[in-house]
Formats: sequence, structure tokens, C-alpha cells
Amino acid sequence: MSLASTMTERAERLLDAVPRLPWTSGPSPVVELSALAREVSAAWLGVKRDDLLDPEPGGTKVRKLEVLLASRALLSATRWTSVGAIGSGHLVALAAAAQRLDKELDVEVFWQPLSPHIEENLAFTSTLAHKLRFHGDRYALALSRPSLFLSKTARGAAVVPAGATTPATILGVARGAVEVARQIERGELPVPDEVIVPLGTGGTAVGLALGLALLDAPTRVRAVAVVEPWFTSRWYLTRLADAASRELRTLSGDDFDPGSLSSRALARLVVDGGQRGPGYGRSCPESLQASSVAAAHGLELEPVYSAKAFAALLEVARASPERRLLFWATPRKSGPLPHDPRWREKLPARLAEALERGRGPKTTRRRFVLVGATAALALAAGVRTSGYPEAVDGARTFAPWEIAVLEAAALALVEGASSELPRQCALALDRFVGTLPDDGRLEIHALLLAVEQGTLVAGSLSRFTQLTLGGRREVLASLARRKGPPGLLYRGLRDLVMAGTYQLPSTWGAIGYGGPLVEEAPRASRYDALVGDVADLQGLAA
Amino acid sequence: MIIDGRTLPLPLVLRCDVVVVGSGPGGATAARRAAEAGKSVVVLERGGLVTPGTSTQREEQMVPRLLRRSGTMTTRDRAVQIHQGQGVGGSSLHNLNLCKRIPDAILSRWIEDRQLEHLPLSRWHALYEEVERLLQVTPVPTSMRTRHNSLLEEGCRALSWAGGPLSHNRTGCVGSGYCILGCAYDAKNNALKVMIPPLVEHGGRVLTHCSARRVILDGDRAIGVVADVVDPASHDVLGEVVVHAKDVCLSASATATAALLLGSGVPDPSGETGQSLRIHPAVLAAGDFDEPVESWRGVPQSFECTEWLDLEGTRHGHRAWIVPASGHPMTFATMLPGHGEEHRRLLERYRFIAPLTAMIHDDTAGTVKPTRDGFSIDYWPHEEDRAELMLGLAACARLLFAAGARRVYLPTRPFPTQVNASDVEAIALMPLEKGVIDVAAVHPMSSVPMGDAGTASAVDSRGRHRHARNLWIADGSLFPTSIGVPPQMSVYAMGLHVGQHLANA
Repeated sequence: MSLASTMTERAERLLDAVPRLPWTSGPSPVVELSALAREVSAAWLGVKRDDLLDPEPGGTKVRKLEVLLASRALLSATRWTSVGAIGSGHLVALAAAAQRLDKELDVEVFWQPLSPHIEENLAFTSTLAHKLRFHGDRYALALSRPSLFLSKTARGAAVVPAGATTPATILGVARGAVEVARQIERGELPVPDEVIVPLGTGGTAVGLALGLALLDAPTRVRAVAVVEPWFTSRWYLTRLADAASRELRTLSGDDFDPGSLSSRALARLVVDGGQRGPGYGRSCPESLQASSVAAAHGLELEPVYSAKAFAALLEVARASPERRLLFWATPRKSGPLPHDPRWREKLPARLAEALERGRGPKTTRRRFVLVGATAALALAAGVRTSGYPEAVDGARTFAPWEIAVLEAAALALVEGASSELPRQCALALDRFVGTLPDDGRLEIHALLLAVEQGTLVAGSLSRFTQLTLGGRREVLASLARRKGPPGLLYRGLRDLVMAGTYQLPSTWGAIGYGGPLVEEAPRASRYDALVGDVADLQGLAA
Repeated sequence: MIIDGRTLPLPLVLRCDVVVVGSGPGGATAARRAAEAGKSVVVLERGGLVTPGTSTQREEQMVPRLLRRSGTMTTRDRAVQIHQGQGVGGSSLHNLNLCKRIPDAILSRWIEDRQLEHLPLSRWHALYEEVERLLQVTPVPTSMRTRHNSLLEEGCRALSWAGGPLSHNRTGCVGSGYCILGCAYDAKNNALKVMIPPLVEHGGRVLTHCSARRVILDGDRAIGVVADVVDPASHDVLGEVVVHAKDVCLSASATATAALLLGSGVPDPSGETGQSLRIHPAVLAAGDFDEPVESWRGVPQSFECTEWLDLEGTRHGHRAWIVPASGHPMTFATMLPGHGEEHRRLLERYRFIAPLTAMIHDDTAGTVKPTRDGFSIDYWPHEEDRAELMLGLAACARLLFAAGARRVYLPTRPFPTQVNASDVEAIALMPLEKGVIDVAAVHPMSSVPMGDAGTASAVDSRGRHRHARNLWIADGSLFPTSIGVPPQMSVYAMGLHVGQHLANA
């Protein structure tokens, strides 16, 4: 059985419209593991070796980066910045790409439990990075540097999204599926029943599912979750698939229905949540066992991402025999990477100490904890910020979507609000929040993002501004009832809206407040005579 | 003269006898004393010059000018709101002008426990007399007692609870009720009015919008201060002012002073610096009356209830002090819990609502740590302090009912708890949980407690740092413990005291 070549040609034509740097040349090889297939009673079992992809150090990330870095904003920037765990494969691939394109790279990293693989990655990243800043955990990072998640630039550098997951890079991965179709034609493998892949930020899993949908292949994608559930929710994956489908339609100019493509992709996607183990970046007995099984068959897998997916593969094979299973090896090639032998000496002191101890700083979910979740949701923000007004007159602090969130919140929170009040409240807050220092402002941006994109927290799948008035009130009431981050989110938003509303003189009459007794225009006072200028510093010059 | 830092050619390097960080009651007073003694003095102030002529009585305009972080400062876990002032005159621009001395019982304990060699009781009394003279402290005239304050008095009388009139430092007060937004009538005898003109007259310079970043050390000696000139509109750092001085005096408040010491690496072998912060945490209850109260009008606080404040430890040992609290609409609407119809209903009662606040003489040690942007505060009252706060809250409710309130609201989250007269006793037994009941504070202090020989203190009772020569502290950081009364008089007293020693240095 093969796939229809007309479909393959069409898929190639559509995906060729996605701009990319011509980095990957030939396909990554497919290697059959026949002995293992016999052991686990699979009809066929093989591995798509993206770890052997060109250029070095390989890995599926290359498929994403060759698309992502082709964007004008990133190509023209001289400095990039991005975030990841200390051993992040994304940062390794990005560091290699930055070197290749002669860009300076600033990285902001957070702790993850150590393994030799993690240290190899960190050695490489820290050798090539222009600057490396360390944060105790993801929450601390999201909190202190929300611009990395919310803006296109941070500290003057162009932001490369965490995990490099964007609508375009999903399409970069979809090319991989089409590549497999050609390998099937050449007889290198049968049409698989399932492709098994780790599920991190979702880009690879959704990309492969989209590719398979374009091919009309009967193959399912088993996405094995290695991160927290919010990344792996159907809602999140649907957003990714929708956005990537729309992106493909826009870029290709073809008139297919993106909604239908997205649904067909999602119909092929199965999220397997059975292998999370003790959490992100941490191995478990099953993953270690899977890793040693793979090693026995010539496949080296790091124990925290790929090995969890491989454990899922073994489980599937045993549970449903006689199936054709393709394992997608997403990490870079195994083994140490070139690095400065004195890389440890250049690390920030806190990180060096943590490495020495073998243990990260104490994790504190302090302050506005939800920003952690917000950071995750913000990955989808690029996907979900369409459909707002282009610009709002008079707004200087807030983006149009933020004004829309504040207006929607004002209507839901303030009883008897006039039709002008929401806009006036939002603009009043625009001025007031503009007086806050950077960290205060960013926190409010994060809060608004969490409200708008984070309605999932309250069990709803729509963004806040798209809910009906009743729906918004329900969401807010349910947040208000909860302690912890959701409660804080409610309280922050409520306080903002009340402050914005009741500073408006139009609201005072109804509550019996007469307002100021003095003119707003400055009046003279005796202190004016005490005001001097630089000439009054004479005699103090050093 | 007062010079806007934003107009200076930057970077700028100056040299003088004394550089003072902060122009509030402590700094402005110490600077004035030093200048009067003939020293050349430069004061660095992070805020701007807010004159009566530019006070607009609009919350959204004045709060960002008068309060650090536009009034949004909290502890790191957001459980406690902390308000701190800025601007030439510091917190005395927006405070409510209450004038109380620290009781002798507390001073005597300090003198004994901390061996305060240079601050015997007689010295404290003399300092207070001078402060009262300078600030023209008088009892608030009975004619200026608002209905809101009279309700507290009536509550005290009905319950036979201890209470009495308060004194203030105002002259020419018109009773507008806008004290908290800066006085547009120049009626507050605050640091701007009382200390800055004589300072300028004696050649002192105040540089505004200059946020001190670091004390410059040369071995074991402080030799100056580096400050960033910050544009308040954009928060951009416009450049740097470096002031080299023979003596450096920190009067940046208990939070910023401790953070500056720690962030500058000033040695403190005892490790006390920043580890013993007190803040006078407070909670609030609001009574709904049949008659209009209009709590925002007139002198905000002129009567106190001291029934549950036993600073001498001779009655019951409780530590809660009760006074009226008020807010203009933006503050009031934010303070009221809930939203929608419920919030609206409460707000429609704005004219009829009389809030009372219970502030405690706290024992909990909070911490201040320097951060890139200033400092962070950790503070959550320990069990006994939480119990005192809830006792204070219950007492507020009792007073309100005794004064004739129909209903009393406690600002619990997510929705306000409405209590009846019969529930009052139960309030004191409610647990105080983070985020469930609002806790606020306006009196950070005690972060660099003073002490003399035989104590571990980093600063002696002249305000002199014991591990960095030529470095002085003159603000509420010096208090060895919480004081249980509004601190302004005592901070002015520290300014006078340390200023005198600076003048003689």
C-alpha cells in the first residue's frame, strides 16, 4: 500500500510556499528495528532519524528553525534572545543557527534536573551564547522577563519564541511528513499505522498531523506528553492546528478550507498522557527502561523526552500487536557537542553553584504565580491575537487587544455601565498603568493576557473578549471563588477596572461625591521661588 | 535650591560635605540641621517637587506623584499592601498629620535593651518638644471633628472604651479632606513646608528625580552616593549623578535605606540589616449608617480609640489602635470587595459608610532585600499578630454597631462579609488568611535597629554606622521595635538628633 502521489505532489506544492532557509537537504533516514519489532510483536517498527538531519547538530528543531529564522524580523536583527531550560534542545539548535548566521544570542535559562545530556547541551549553549542569564525556575523567569513571552523584542534583541513553535514552524515540521511519503514510495517503509512523537510545545505533533492530513494518510500521530497538561489540552492543540492551517492557506494562496484541514489533522492526533512521570524534564523508571531497550537496538535516547515517547511506543506495541509503528526521533544527534573547556567558569554564579550542588535553587511559586501558566498560554498568543481593532486612539500603554479585554471586563464587572464607560475606563487605566515602573506594567500585560487567553482556567474554550456578557460574568465569578492564582487574577482585574471606572468624574454623581475643590490648572505657590537650575550647583562641581 | 534632576547635564559629579538620600521627615530635618551648621548639603530625592499649587485633588493624578510605584507596592506574595511616599517632603506630603510621641514605656525598654547611650529619655523628650514646636502641633479643634470621627467617639462612649482627641500639625486647614492627595492649601506643616525652606536658605540643594542606587565605599569609609536620574513618565534612566561627600546620610525609609545598605555591600556582621522590618499592619471594617457620613470630607482623623492599645503593658497587653479611615472614589471603590450589582449597591452607600481601621503594634520581623529595581519585602504577620489584627477588626465592628451602624462589612474576598451585631464576637476568632482579608500598612520601620555597645546593632544611637565610617542613618529604620503610634513625630526627632551629630561631625 502506498499513498496517492497526487496528494503528495499537492502537499509539496503547498508547503513549498512556506519561506525557509535551505538548510535541510535530503530526507532524514528511516531505520528499521526488525529485532525489536519481533520482540514486541509489531508488524513493522522503525525510526525516523531526525537526529541525523543536516546541518549539525540535527534534530527536528532544524525543520522549525529553517522556517522561523527565514522571517524578515529575525533575519535582519543582529541580536536574538530566547528562553529554555538549561539543557534545552531548542537553545542548542538556536545557538548553532546563530553561529551559522553570525547573530549574537542572549539566552535566559531556567533550572531542570541534571543529566549528562543536559550538561552537554548547556556546555554548547553557554559556549556560543553572547549572554546567559539564569532564573531559578520557569515561574521566576516568566515573572521577571514577561517581555520574552509577550513581545517581539526584549532588551533590544529579537525574541525567538520558546520551543520555536509558531504557525509557520508547524508547517516546517509538516514537510517532514511529506518527506516520509516519498520514502514510502521508494519502499523504505510501509505506510505506518502510527507515528509516535514526544509532545512538548506541540509544534512537532501538530505539524506531523497536518502533514499526514494533507497526504490523506491513514496514519495517526501519538503525541506523548512530556509537559504539563495545559500544553497538551485539546484547546491548545486546536489553536495551533487552526493557526497553522490558516497560515498555509495565506502563504500558498490556495483556496482550501483551513478549518477542514485543521479538523482532519486533529482527527489524526492522539494525545497520550500516560508517560508524564514525575514532571517536565525528569526521568522515570519507564523512561529509563525504554532508553535501555532502545540502546540495545542501537538507538541512543535521552531519558526525559524521547525515552518517554519510546516507552509509549513499547506499550502500544505490546497492547495492540501487528501494527506498523514509526518512532520519530526528534532530538539532536547524540554525544557531546563542541564547547569551550572552561564553559563552567563563564556561567552566572547562581547557576554554577546549582550545577556544583547538582540541585537547582529552591522553587518558589511566588507572587503572581499564574504568570507561569500565562507564559505557556502566551505561546498560543501569536495564534490568538487576531480579530482586534488595529489601533485605539489615545492608548499608549496598552495594545488594542488589551484595551478590548479591559472594556469587556468593565462591562462585566461594573453594574449599570454606560456605553461610553468601558472605553473611558480602559483609557484611564492606560494612563495610570503608564505611570508604573517596567516590572509593574509588564505584570499587568501578563495579567490581561492571562484573562484573555487563559479562560481555559475557568473551563471555557473561547477567549474572554469573545464570550457573551453572561459568559464573562461566569468566568469572573468562578475565578473569584477560587484561591491561589485564579483568585489573584480576578482580584487584579477587578481592582484595575474599579480604579479605572471610579476615577472618572462621570461616575461620581451617582455615588454622591462632589469632586475636587480646586482647579486642575497649576497655581502659584511660595515654593516656586525655591526652584533653581544647574547654575545653582556652582561650587559643588567635583 | 530645589533642582529638577532631569534638567541637569548628565552624568554629573558633585562634591559636598553631606549628601542625604531622601527628603522626608528624617532626611529633610537632618539636612536642615547640617546646613544650618554651615555644611554644604545635597539631598537626593527620588520623587519630584509637588507643591500645593500643583495638587489637583485628583487621585489618578496625585497617587502616581506621591506614592512609590503609584501606590501598587505590596509584599512579594501580594498579601500586604504597603504605601510609601515620595516627592520633596517624602511621606509627609500625603500623611494624615497625626502627632503622637512614642510612649515612655517603649522608649525605656529600648534604652535598656539596646543600651541607647545617646538617647536617654530626657533627650527623647527634648527632641519631641522641639519637633512639636517646629511643626506647630496642636489638638485638632473640636469644631473640625467630622461626623465620621464623632461616630468613633460615640462608639467609644457607648462601650465605655478608652479614646480621645488627636493632635495634628496643620495650620490654615480648610477641612477639604484631601490630605491624602497632598494639601492644595499649604496647611500641612510637613517637611516641605517646615524643613526645606530653611535648608535652601542655608545653601542646601535638593535634586529631584534622583533615585539613589549605591553608597560608594572606600575601604571602611562611605564617600558618596551614586543616583540614577529617572524620568517618572517613561521610567527611563536619563543618566547618573554622583555625589562625593565627607558624610553620607541615608533617610530613604526603612525599606529603601536597608536595601541601599545591603545592595552597596555595607558590612553588617550581625546580619540585622533588613531582617527586622516592622510595618504596623492594619485591617478595616466599614459601618453602614442611616445618616450621611461623607467620610471623605474634613480632617480625616481627629479621634482615636485606645481601648485595645496597651503599649505600657499594664492593662491587657493588646496592641490594636483604632482610628477612622476614608478614601476618595477610586480608592474606596477598589477597597470595596466584589463586583457587579453587589459592588454597586455598596458603592451607592458611599455617603453613608464609615470605615474604621485597626492598626497593630506589630512584633513580626519582616525582611527587606535589594533587587535590581529597588527592593522586595517579605512580611506576613505571625500568629499572635494575626490574632491582634482580628481582635482589632472585631473591635472596629463593635464600635460601629455601638455608634449606630445598621450593618458592618468586612472586606473579605471574594465577597464582603456582612456581619450583624450578634456576630461580632466571632470575628476575633476568624483566621486571618492571605488574600481573604485585605491587610495594608503605611509605616515601614525598624529595618536597621540602632543600639550601642554590647548590642549587635549595625548603627549606634547617634545614627552612625558602626562598620562604615562617615555613614549615617536618619529615619524610621533606626527604631529598635515597632512603636504602635504614627511615626512621623519620631522620624522628625531622628532627623533632628542625627542631624545634630552630623553637624558636629
